[in-house]
Amino acid sequence: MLVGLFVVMPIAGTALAATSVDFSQGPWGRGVTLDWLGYAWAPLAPAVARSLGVATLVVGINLLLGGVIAWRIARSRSLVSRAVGYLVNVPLAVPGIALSVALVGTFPALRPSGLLLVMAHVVLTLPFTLAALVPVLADESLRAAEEVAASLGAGSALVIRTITVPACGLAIAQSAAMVFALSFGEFNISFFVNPPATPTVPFALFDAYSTGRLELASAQTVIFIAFIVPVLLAIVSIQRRTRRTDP
Amino acid sequence: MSRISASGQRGAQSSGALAGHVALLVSLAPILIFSVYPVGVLVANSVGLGAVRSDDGFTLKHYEQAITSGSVHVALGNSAMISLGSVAICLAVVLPIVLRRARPRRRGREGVVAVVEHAILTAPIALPGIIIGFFAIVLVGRTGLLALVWNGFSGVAYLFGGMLIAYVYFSLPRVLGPLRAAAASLDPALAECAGTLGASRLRVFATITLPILLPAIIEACATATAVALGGYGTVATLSAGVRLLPLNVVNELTTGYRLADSSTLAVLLAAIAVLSIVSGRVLSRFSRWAVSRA
Repeated sequence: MLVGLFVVMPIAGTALAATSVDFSQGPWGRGVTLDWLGYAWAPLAPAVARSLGVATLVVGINLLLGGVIAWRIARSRSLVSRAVGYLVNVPLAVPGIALSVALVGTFPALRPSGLLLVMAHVVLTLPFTLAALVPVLADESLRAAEEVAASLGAGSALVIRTITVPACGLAIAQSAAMVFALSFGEFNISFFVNPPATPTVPFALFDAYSTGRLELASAQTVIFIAFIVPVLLAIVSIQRRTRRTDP
Repeated sequence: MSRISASGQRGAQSSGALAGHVALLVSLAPILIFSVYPVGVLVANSVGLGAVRSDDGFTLKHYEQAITSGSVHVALGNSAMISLGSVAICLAVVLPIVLRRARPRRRGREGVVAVVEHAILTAPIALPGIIIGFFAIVLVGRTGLLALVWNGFSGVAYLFGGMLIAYVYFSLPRVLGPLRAAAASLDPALAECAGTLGASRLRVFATITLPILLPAIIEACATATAVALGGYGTVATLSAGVRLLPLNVVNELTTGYRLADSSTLAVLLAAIAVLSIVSGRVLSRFSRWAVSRA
């Protein structure tokens, strides 16, 4: 209960600051206003659009590459596929800021286009996709169903489309939501690879934290949280549904 | 006839396997190019062999500089204390919650309250570190909310204590998640059985629950420590306060583009994080082995 309060209090405090005319005069000092949220939205909107675009692109590339890699890791017990499992998890062990220095030191030319940012996010989020997909794809009953369909004459494309992908539905949805949330709020690995002229939301926030008024920075934070909450709710509800379908 | 079809099938299988290998290679290549390869270049840069070629080739002078630098010592000490301290506090807070929820009569009852509680406690994992740093400013910054209640809170965000609490907020879901999963796999019948045989709750905890959970506790704490150690966002927002190691990594690049020095510190930071994770794995295995023999 106390822990819940500890988690919620700063969010409530930020919302208070975002709606106070003058927060230095106390909560809702000099009255309540929605002006800060309005002022915050105008400069934040292009960054939000950019972040939504990056996150969508990252989810797409991630599911495409992650789907194939997960499928191979799940279906083959060879040394190679186990080694692949370890290599892909490198970004979980190496801190984001270290990877950021590594990436900008290796591919400085790819930074301005934003390609480096997208690939950095893909690499960072891939382990989460694999963690969700590999156990489902390794499931014996799914493999049996695929074999039955194949023995009845279904081609591999038909088997994948009508059996494999539907069986992975929840895992795909869960990874998509998770990857989207991670990419939308990513700051560490992005720090040196983010195109400076076109910031994503976390960098717009960081800028507000170092230069803006507390009320304005709070309002931008509230807007960020408003975007992340639906994704979070989606993740929790998918997790519950996954648990229910498990025997 | 049957032999022909069998060999045909084998041929189809091996061509399928070949297609699989090609597909894996094609999807894996972009991942490795943007993860493992840059880490290799990072290490090369730190020893004067990569993009920043030193005049006399291989050199360890950047490491010497880093290891003898006073500001790195201070930052390293602070980083170690903040990451270990915040995870230890998280464990002390989280363990009772996890155990209470794993108790037999509570199980199977997944009401709305439990879902909301779960959502609230895991929410901070989706918040970037910079926002958690900003929370500290809103609550205990110079004009923070709690500073109005008691003036002593003013500016705490920039002191060691404030930074520690911010990292507790950061680490909480990272300790809670794995431990909750581990506790969910506890067989409640064990504790129940010991209880009906007359063991006190403390004894049940010390002789059954704790030994079973210990490997998961060790591994979760080691991983969370590594993540807190490398977490840059929170300290970036609070950079006017306590110095942590990720700040030094960034400073080498943002104040004059000293790629080799920055790479060296990044390698050191990564090495400490990896060491923490690996030693957690090893200790966790060892404790599992020790418990199974006891």
